[in-house]
This record gives sequence, C-alpha cells and structure tokens, in this order.
Amino acid sequence: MTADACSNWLVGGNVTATSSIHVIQGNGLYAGSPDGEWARIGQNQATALALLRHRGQVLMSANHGLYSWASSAGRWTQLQDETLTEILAIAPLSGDPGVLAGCPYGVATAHRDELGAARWTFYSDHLSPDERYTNALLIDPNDESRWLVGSEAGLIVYSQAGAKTARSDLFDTPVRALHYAQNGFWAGSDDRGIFYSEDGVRWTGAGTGIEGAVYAIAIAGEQLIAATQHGLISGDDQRAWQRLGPRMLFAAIAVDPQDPARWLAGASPGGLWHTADAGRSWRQIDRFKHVRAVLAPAGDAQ
Amino acid sequence: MTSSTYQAEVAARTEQILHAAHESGSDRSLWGAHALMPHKPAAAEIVEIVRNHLWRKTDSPASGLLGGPFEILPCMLLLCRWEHELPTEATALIRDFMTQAHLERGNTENHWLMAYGGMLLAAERWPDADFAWSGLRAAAIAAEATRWISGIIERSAVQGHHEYDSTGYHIEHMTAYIGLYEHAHSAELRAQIENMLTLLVADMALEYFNGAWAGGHSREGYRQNTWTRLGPIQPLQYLYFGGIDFDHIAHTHGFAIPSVVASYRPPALFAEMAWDRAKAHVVKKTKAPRTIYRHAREIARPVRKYTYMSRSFALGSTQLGLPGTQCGPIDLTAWDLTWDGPNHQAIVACNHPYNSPDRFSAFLHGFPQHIGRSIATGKPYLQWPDRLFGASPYERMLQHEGGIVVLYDIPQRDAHPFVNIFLPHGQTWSERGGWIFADAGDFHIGLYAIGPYEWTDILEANNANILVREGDLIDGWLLRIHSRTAGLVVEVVEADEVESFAHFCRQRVALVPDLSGWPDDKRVQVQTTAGHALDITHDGAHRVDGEEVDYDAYPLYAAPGVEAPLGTGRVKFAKNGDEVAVDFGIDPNKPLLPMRVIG
Repeated sequence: MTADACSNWLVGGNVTATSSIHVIQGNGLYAGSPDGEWARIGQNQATALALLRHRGQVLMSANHGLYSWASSAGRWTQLQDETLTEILAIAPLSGDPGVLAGCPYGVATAHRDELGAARWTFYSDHLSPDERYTNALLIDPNDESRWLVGSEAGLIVYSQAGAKTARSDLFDTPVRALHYAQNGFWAGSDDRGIFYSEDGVRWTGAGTGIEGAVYAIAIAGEQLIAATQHGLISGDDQRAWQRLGPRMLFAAIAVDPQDPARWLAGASPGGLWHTADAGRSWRQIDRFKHVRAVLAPAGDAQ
Repeated sequence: MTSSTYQAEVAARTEQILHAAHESGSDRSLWGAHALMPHKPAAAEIVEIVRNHLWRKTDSPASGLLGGPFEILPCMLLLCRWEHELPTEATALIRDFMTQAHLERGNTENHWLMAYGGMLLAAERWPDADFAWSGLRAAAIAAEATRWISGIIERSAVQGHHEYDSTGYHIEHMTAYIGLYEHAHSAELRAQIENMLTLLVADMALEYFNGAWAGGHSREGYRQNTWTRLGPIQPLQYLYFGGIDFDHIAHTHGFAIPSVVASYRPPALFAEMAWDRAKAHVVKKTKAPRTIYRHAREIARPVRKYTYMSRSFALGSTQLGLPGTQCGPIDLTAWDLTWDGPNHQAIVACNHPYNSPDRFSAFLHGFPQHIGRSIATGKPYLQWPDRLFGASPYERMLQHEGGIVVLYDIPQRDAHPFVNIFLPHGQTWSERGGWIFADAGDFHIGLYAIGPYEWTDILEANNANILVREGDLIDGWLLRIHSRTAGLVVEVVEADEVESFAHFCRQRVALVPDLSGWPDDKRVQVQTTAGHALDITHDGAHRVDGEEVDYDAYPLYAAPGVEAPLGTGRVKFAKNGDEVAVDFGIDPNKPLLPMRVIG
C-alpha cells in the first residue's frame, strides 16, 4: 500500500464479490482520491462501518472487529476482544486505546491488559435492548465524559464517563446520525427527520421535508448536508431540505476540508459518488459496490 | 451394555463411516481429509486439498485471502490430528493461511466457537508467529480465545445452550469442542470441554428418535423441517447411538469426519438413553434466552422445551420467550409431531410465515430499511408465503404429553393472515366432526384446525431451475387456515392404548374443543381422550388439569434418570446402574461472559 492514510480519502467498501460469512460488504478500507487510483490499506477485508483519524492512526470499526492502522508500522492491529463486535460507531477519547465504541450491545471503553490487548467495559447493560443498540456516537466537545448516543430507542445521554444515562426528549425513534456543527448538536432519526439541540437533551425539529431514515450528517462550509434512505439532502434548521443527486440509500458522506464544494458519498447499495460542485452534479466512482463509511483527508474540518 | 461392548460397536461404525467417506470421494475436502489420511495419500493430493479449500483455486498470496470459521477450524483440526503425517508443504500452507490471511469470527455462536477454537490451536502451535490479521501476540490471541470458549461453556452449564439442539449446527459445536478436547494445551480447559461434550451428547440422546432429533430446534435446515432425519449431525447420531441402517450420504457429512476419527467417545449410558423407548416419558429442557438485540424493549426469556417421547411417535414444543413482536428467528422450528418414516412422510407441523424484514434486523446490524431485500435476494425462500419453518412472534402453544394446542393472533398489519399446516401424503386422512384423522398403524393422529381452511399441496425441489420434478425438499399436503386467529389442536395416541382407531375418532369428536373464549378472550380449552384438560390463553396463563404450568420451574434437563437443577452447573445422568456426573465448578458470584453473537 503506497497511498497515505492521512492525506487521502478513505473509503470502507467493497469492490469485489466476497464469499465470507454473512458478509454483504467486506473488502476493507481503501485510500485514494476521486480522480485517481484507489488502493486497499493493508490486508484487512472487514466490512467497514465507521472511520476515525485519531493521534496518527486510522481506526476502522467493522462487522467483526475494531482495528487501528498505524502508517509507521504499516499494519492493522485488532482492538476488539471477545465482548466487542459489530461496531457501528466510534468516537475519540483520551488514553490508550482512546476510543469510545458503540455496538448493538451498547457503549464501551477499553484499557490495555498485560498482553497489550484492548479489554472492553460496557456501560449499557442496565438498558433495554433497543436502548443498548448504538448506531451513532458523539463526544460533547465541551466535556469528554459526556457522550451523546444515538440508539435504536432514541437519543440517550451518557454522563460521568458512562456512569449515568438519561433519555433525551428525542426518543421513541431510532437515531442513526449525530454531528456537532454551528455550536450545536444535530441528530438524524429514522422517521422524523433531523433535529437540533444546544444541550443534547432538548431537541427541536430542523427543517422539513425529509423522507426516510437519516444515516449521516456533515457540514460543507455553511451548508448542512445529510445522507438518507432516499438520497442526499441539504438544508438547515428552518426551511425544507432539498434533495441532491441520485436517489438511493446513502449511508455516509464526507466533505473535503480544503474545498467545501467537494464531497464523497457512500451508498449501500450504490457505491461511491463524487461531486466537485456542492452537489449540483455527481459522478459515480466505479469499482465500489457497497460503501458504508467515508472519511475525508486530514484537515481542519476533520 | 458394557463400556467395552459399546466402544467396540462405535469402533465398527467408525470404520464404516470412514470407509464410505473414502470410497465416495468425500474425503477430498479439508473436513473429510481425515478419512483420507489413513490411506497414506500422495503429498500432492493433500496439498491440493488444502489449497482448494483455503485458496479457493486462486493464486493469491496468503495475505490476500479471507478466512472465516469454516476455514479456520478444519485446517487446524487437520494439522493437529495429522501433524506428523502431513507433507511439509501442506503444513506451511496452513500456517501461512492462519497467520497471514484476514480472518474473521462470523456472527453466530457456532461461528465464534469454530473461529476461536482454530485460533487457539494456531496460537498454541506457533507462539512466536506474527499473526498479521490480529496484530496481537499469540499469547493475547490465545487468552482471548480461551476466555470466550470457557465463558460460553459456563453460560451453557448455567442457563442452557444458546444455539440449542440444531440439526444443522450441533455438529459444528461438537466438532469444535472435540478438536479442542483432543488438541488444546490447557488441561483445565480440556476438562471443561469434556463436561460440555457430555451436555451436548445428552442433548442428542434425550430426544433421539430412531435416527431423528425430536422436539423444537433453534435452527433447522431451510425448507427441510418436513424431513424425518436431517442435518449434518446425523453421522454423530449414528456413530454414538447406532441402531439404524447406515446411510452412505447422510452419515458421511464432512463436518463430522474430524470427530469420527477423534479419540473422544461419550459414555455408553447415552446410547442406552437414546434407545430406551420402553415407556413413554417427557423430556424437559431449559435453553438460554435468544440473543435479540433490536426491536425489543426487554431481553428474551429462557427457552423451555417439552418433548413427549412415546414409543412410536414424538411430539415436541417450545416456549420461545421472544421479547417482541418483531422477533422471529429465521430457521427456528418451534414444534412438530414426528415418527419413523421416509422424509415428508413422518412429520406434522404448522407455521405462520411471518415475514417482517425486522426479523432480520433483530439479529443483524444491516439497516432495517434495506435488510429485507439484502437478505432475501440471496435466500428468497426465507420470505415465501408457503414457509413451514421460522418463528412467528404471534404463535403460542401448550402441550401435555400427546396433546398440543397451537394458537396464532396475527395483527392486521401482518402481510400473511394465515397459517400453513403440513400433512404427509403417505397417510390416508379422513375428516369427521371438524377433526382430521389418520391411522398411522402403531399410533393414531387427530387434528382440529381452528379457522376456515382448505387443502392444497406443496412441492419444492432443491435444484428447481425451471420445473419441480421431484419434491426433494418439501412434498406433501398444505392446509392453509385463512384466519388471523388461526389455531391447531393435535392429539396423538398409541394404537395399543385405545380400543380402536374408530373408537379414538369417536372419542375425539365427542370432546369438542371449547372455543367460546376464542378469539375474544384469547382462550381455548381442550379435553384429551387421555383425560387431561389443556387450557391456554394466548399471551396468558397455560393450565393443565386446572393447574398453571410453571415454566420457570423447569430445570436444565428433566427426564427419567436425570438430575439437573438450573443455574448450578451440576448435572447427573443415571441409567441401569451406570452414572455420569459432571460439575462445571461454577462460581455463582462470577458474572457470566456476555453473549455477543446470534445464538
């Protein structure tokens, strides 16, 4: 692998059919650019579900594990243990390995054991199955011990580093997307559109006209954009959201930190799509079939 | 039967299975090669088998390969069992694969057991190797695998097996545990594994019925639950229990071959239990709650099984304990009536073909908005309206001995407002007084459909690209009850326990099921000809002879000669003066390993 994991776009998706166990996606993580070549990073062929750059490493959460890639070592290292799997969301924390993980069984942090392996502690065992099931995570930028968790039951606020949990008023709908922008929190739900909150506890509907589930939210300059069940949309907290580009299930979207008009969006199924003009025109990047995770090159917006 | 007699019989069946596997050529797989090795094959032949299975006929370097449980376990079992006979190149290929390929655990209990089993064996064999797929040291890989294997054994000992009594997957548990019993380094782990194997063999023996596995199953082959004997568990059933004709195909399934050549053999007592049908008896089992991680506001309750093992038939049912209306494990079989006969000719079952896509996302992390299509495009039969397998969240049942009442309360939003009943072609059915009867010779069957129904047939073939010529998958009568509040009453009696078939029919017709509370009060009451009163309220109380059934009082196992209180990890099996006792040494204060996979 010659592409650098920091300076390139990263895409978790599949380019070839795979015959592994119950794998719809697979094939691991690719680095490249919309107009150039794409190369797989290392040998990992997991189904990437979320990506994060953190302290010089790339973290990839996947169907069967959580992995870190250190360019200096040129290899993947597993971070999962026998209690962590199907990791749908990750967020950065201090410490080692320094990551908050969300999976169908709840929210967990890790420490290193004497053999160097990450060992996970869960904070969700007292919750109901739908409350445990974690789709999205967001660390409060003002308090690292306060975590916003998009669960299958709604948005739950974990405080005191997981010691306490409380329901927000965004509840009884699955929350699959969380984002912090414009000094506030944004959440995407399954059937009620996008919500805005200043404190993460009290939420108000943001704009109108959103059709289907919202899987990812990002900001492009001053413009909010989202990946939804029926395509990409842009808008704000006041007006009707506008649909952009092809109509398909977009699961991920990322914005170039150096050029806010340049986005990559991942669809499953549908592959990888690129726009260089803030969504007015789109081009499919061939070879990708299913994409669940996209990460822009390192920069301020990340 | 003495132990030596039993061991001699098992040894003879071992040779029979291995010989047949070799003669048929099914020993040219990574699983089956254990039957080839005693014939001292050429090195190139073994290398080809390894390459074909692990490399999938590609020229990829090992680092480009992808492996899962079905590669990880069999390659390590082959290596460990034949370590000194394998050609050097084959050993090197296996080592390359296990250290350099990208390995994944899968997402079911059998997957993780096979994966962790193989990974542990590899980490112990090559403690200084660089396991590129992990990045961790071998010691850390071994520690993780040991924690999970030990933990899942403790869970099973305390609250029952998760992926319970699966005709398809029990063999994968058995083969993984037997491989670890034979080859793992830790004596402590091997002792716990031997205890676990005792439970798994007991599971097989307690509901063994003339080569079939009676009762409810967590997972049973897609479109095969009208088969009498099915699943890759059959070779071990035959090997351990014998008593039926050898089947060159069913009894040589590759998944079992590593266990056939192993030194592990269960105590003879279980073969005697498997064949003891002198007197009808009830088998009760508690199994672990199903792992439902979404579309549920509460966790599942324990599974309770009730199986009536009569002399000429077996009737089994399950209290599934599912926590929500969106939960329907896709290959679960909750109940059936079975007897000895050819496939499709010896089963009665019914099912509501629940097909909400949420039944996939209750177990799988794909988006609920798309998972119905993404799963069903690959396995369309999972969503077919004629489906006879798979759980419905709207099904409830109450059984006592040879009588059972099955009720459905299907909401308006469900796409399939009907229930399918499967009846074999091979019986001559008659209708009288609302009852459907069959004289099966040694026993008699009476069925009463609750709701308007019509007869049609069902015929499905395995290789039906254009035209179904032979119903090798399903072949029989399909009775469809067109009602959202459908139900079925079944009573089965031994022929020599009633005056005559005609008398049974008259008796049965005279005892009209009391439907005065159905569906408004959701209650049905049925008198059996044997004199018992079954009283079931859908989502309410179950009473037998006026006494409420306390499913929570079920032990881990209840059957003649078995003592197995729930939650203790201590089980005792006794038969004809012989006794097998296991004690898992459970520390009640130690939390159980969390369950993180489908099971």
